[in-house]
Amino acid sequence: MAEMALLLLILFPFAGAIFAASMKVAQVARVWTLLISFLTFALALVVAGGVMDKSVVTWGTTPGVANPLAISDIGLAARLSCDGISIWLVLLTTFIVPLVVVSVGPAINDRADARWFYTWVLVLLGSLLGAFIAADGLLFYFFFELTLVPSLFMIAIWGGADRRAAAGRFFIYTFAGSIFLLIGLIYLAAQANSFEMSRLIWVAQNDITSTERWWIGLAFLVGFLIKTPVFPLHSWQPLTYAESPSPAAALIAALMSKLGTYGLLRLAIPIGFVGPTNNGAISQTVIVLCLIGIVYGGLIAWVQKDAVRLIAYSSLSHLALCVLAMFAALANNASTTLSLQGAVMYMIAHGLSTAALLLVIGAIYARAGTRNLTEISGLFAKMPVLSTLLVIFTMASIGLPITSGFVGEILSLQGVLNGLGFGVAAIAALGMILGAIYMLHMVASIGFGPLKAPAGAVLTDATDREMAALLPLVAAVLALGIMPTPVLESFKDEVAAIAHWSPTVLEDNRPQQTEEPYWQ
Amino acid sequence: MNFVIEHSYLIPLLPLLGALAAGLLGAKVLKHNSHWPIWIGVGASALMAIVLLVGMLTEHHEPGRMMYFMSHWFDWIVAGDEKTGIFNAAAGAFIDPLTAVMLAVVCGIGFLITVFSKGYMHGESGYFRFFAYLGLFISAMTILVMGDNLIMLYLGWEGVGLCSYLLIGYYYEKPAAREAAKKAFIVNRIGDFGFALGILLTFYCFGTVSFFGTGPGSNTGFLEKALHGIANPGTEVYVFWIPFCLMLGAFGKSAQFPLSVWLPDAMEGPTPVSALIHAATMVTAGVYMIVRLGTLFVGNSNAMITIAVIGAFTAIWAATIALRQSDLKKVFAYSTVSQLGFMFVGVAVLAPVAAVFHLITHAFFKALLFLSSGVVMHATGGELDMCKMSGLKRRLPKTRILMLIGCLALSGFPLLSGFWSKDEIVHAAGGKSLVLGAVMLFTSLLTAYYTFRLYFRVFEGPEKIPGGDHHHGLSQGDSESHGPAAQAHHNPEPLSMMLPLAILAIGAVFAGVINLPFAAGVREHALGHFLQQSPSFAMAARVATAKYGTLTDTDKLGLGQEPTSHVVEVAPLVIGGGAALIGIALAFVLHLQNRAKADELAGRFGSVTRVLDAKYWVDEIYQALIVEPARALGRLFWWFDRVIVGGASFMIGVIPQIGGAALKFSTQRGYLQGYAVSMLACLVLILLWMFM
Repeated sequence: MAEMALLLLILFPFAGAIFAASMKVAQVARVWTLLISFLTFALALVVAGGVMDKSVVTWGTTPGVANPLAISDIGLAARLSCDGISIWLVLLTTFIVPLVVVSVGPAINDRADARWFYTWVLVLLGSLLGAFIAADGLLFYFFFELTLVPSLFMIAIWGGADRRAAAGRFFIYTFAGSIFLLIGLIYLAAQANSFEMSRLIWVAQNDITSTERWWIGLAFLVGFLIKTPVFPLHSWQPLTYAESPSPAAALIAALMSKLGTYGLLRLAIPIGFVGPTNNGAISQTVIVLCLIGIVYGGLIAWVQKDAVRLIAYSSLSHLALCVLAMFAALANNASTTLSLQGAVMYMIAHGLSTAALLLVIGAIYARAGTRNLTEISGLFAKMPVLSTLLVIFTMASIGLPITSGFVGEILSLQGVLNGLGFGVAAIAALGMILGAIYMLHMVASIGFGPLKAPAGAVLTDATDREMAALLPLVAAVLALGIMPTPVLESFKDEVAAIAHWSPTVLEDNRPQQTEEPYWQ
Repeated sequence: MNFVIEHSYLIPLLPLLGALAAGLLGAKVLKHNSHWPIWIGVGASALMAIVLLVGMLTEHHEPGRMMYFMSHWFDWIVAGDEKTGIFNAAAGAFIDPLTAVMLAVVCGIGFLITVFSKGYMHGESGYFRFFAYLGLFISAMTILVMGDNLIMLYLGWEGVGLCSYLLIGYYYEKPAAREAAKKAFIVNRIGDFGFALGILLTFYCFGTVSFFGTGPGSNTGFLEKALHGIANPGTEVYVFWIPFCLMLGAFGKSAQFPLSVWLPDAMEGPTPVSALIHAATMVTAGVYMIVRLGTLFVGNSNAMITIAVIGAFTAIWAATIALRQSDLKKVFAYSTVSQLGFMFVGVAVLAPVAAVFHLITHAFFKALLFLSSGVVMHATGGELDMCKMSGLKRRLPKTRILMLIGCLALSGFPLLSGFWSKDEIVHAAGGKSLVLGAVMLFTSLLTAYYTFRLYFRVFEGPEKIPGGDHHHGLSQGDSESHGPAAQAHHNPEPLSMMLPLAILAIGAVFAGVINLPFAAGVREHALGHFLQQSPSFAMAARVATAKYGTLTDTDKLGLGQEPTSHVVEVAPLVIGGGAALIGIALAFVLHLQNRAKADELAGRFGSVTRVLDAKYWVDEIYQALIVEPARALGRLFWWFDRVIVGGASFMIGVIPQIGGAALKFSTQRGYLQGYAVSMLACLVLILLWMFM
């Protein structure tokens, strides 16, 4: 049941996309997309049930049973697996996408090509899910790259004035990054005779020289750091966020950035940075870049005038802490489990609060016609509900207790302190102060003060449609903040295994030499 | 009492539910009845708090036995593994005499202020919003004083900070309120940065964030581990720094120098908020924190000296600024900063009972003073400048009496509550260091002077009532507040506002009874004997005894020591009372008898008054030395980001673009879709290459 649901999780959105593209009436396409994405969420819940039972749900990985969806000549197969980490990203994705679909406003809905927007949303949904549940390196890469296509179209067609430039830079930059990833993947697969992730990891940890491992680790790292992004590989991000239509911005910021952090955790770290030859120098560099990113992103966010650019730089600052916690987990005497639990929680929390903030700002933009903080103020007077939601999500973003952001932040910081010492933790914790400064600057500018908005703006409060999109996000943010323990527990063993290096435990994954090598 | 302990979660939950009801239903359904859910919720919590306090007071106890109740609500955050330590922050309460006293203050005074607010906030457009925030605040504050671990303390801490932010910014249309709210949150956040690091270090060193673990005596809480010196191997050096990190948080929340700048600005909020949050309860959270975690602090004499110096400096520094303020609420705000300094000095000189004692009496008289100022505002149409008013005693006869009581208590007028509590701190400080004692004594004199300067100016002398046309803190704009015409018909002193004030006034006069140095109705040092049973006090006392041998005998009541003698020392009481009387007399001469003389004096010391009027330019210095450079750095980084980082990435982009241009020629397309096609093409090529 859950195994089948796992496969359907990918097939369903793509099949839905094909139908959505053929629906001439935007409203029909919209309802259809909503239906498909809700059903995908239901499928994700089925998978989640399976993960709760058996800790991991797989499809197509049973030894001795031929994979029905395989190109055996190149070792590519539709091997799927969903464990305690993946499931939360799957749930995050399937939870946010329907809400984003709900939130799509007249700016897109009233256009003749609206159905294509919905089509691309479903394609993005399918490819994100594919990347999160792929147990095969090449399959992962395929979906990882495939996410670029729908986001590219969404930016280039429905984006702001500078959409072409933004789309171009977004595509080229992130594509360039994944070239490194692909090279590393192919080189490693050549050694492992397989693209299966667990084998790739075993080979990287045991069967290659430290020089090879250095290069491969770096290649994987760069690909994922660009996607996250981490300073100084982020320059595609502000423009992309600013020029995307707000539903697409929410999807890219909340979900696509998680491909980067997920990839780091799932592939880059075990492949390059765990065990005796753990590339300490690169880790040190990443740690320094993250620390710079926290302060640098925070200070730049503070001087932004465009609210969405502000969020973009805040993500730069926030996700640096997430990556920092991952690398802190690898230090000697680190509290590995704690640290990685914090990092995963941080991913989920960041996804929720960033999506929510971008949707609220999008709603304001749709009314006021501007997101420039100097052109609007005092909107609380006209839209108290929307402004209150903005305050709530701001508090989630800056990590107030009983929001999901707090759990991720405090555990990540604890991991950083335990692993990397007080000094590093103190610099990382500066993000707390900077976060309050720029976020409250934004809230104060938009929400409070004398009422100011461009002429002709119709400042109505949140519509039912917007409430339907935002209230579930409030509920999720609070639920994870009040009851994080079952969540943290559900991926405790998985994160511990990721950073755990022990050749004997992983002996099962040694490439089977009896198999016919395909690489000749 | 057993019911209260079993259902202790109700104490924060009921006001929270009230807040939710008011917040969600207030705008459409409840409207001007929005105070009811809050009255009920906070009232029930106050009742539970009183039952708890009375129950614990009447509980039979032997000397030396600790009294506490633990209540586990649910597992909140559990992370980590057995090997490297489990981070376990439970949602649960630790109820001991300290908590009981704090709960009674928070819920009791909180309830009185919600009652007062009905009349005060009547007719405001954001009526329901105000009460919802108020309920949320009480809920967070009770969590703060009940929590049994650092994370719960932090939850309450941030929760009250959020409510403070929302309530300071209540008149959100006013730019000043908006800026003040933001400033309060951010300055507090700087303190929280230290607090958070303190929490992280505590877990790092002791492997737990729970105060007492499974209970005192089990050696599982970090306070007990600190008491016995059990830290994780290799982390001992960090134990020293924990109090310094935590005290930064305390200084932020309790507005001590250098993080004091937010509190005077916070007076932009409605006056009941100033009374409840920015005088009686929230700002004392820093004192509570250090008392609660005394075991970590007491053994660290560097930390204690730092607190003493900061506290004493803040006390006298803020008192001097208060001398020249002309806005009623600003005077009381600086006075609050100064009085909090007294409490910190009390904690630092090992007289935590005196600090808690002063916290309680201060809560009564400062709430009274703020609320009375609110009545003045009501009557003068929002005017608070004491230069523009005089002789209000005929217009506001009841308020005048109440204000006089509050002023006398704040000044330390003999036999009123403030006299007893302040004297204990001054006395204990003098016992530690004569200089410190002298500074505190002089500050008491200044306190009496500025308090009565205000009283004589506003209520005595020739009558002058400003004819404002505004309401509350709004200096402009709010069309929905009642105008001057409606104002004139209103009784400026309605019963619903006078009754809570009367109760506070009774407290301001008699609250000293709870800890008199001699038996009068209740036993001597009753509060001290009660608090001694708190594990926090008992453990801190053991550290202090081990570290300093015997405690100074001025602190007969502090850390669990039985008084060595029952002879009341009269001299310090006389000196303390004398200082208050001198201050009042000075104010009488300069601000009632001969106001021209006061102005002439101010003119003669022009340079001094300029410094005081400018509040030592602290805000300006921060702006110039911290805020502006940081923003400039932000702008520099932004330039760097666009030009250097962006430029470099552009170069990366150019190379494929040159290649792409060639492709464009051949395909004649140039659409971005081409990139997707080329991506897939490349993928296929690579796969083919592998396969070959």
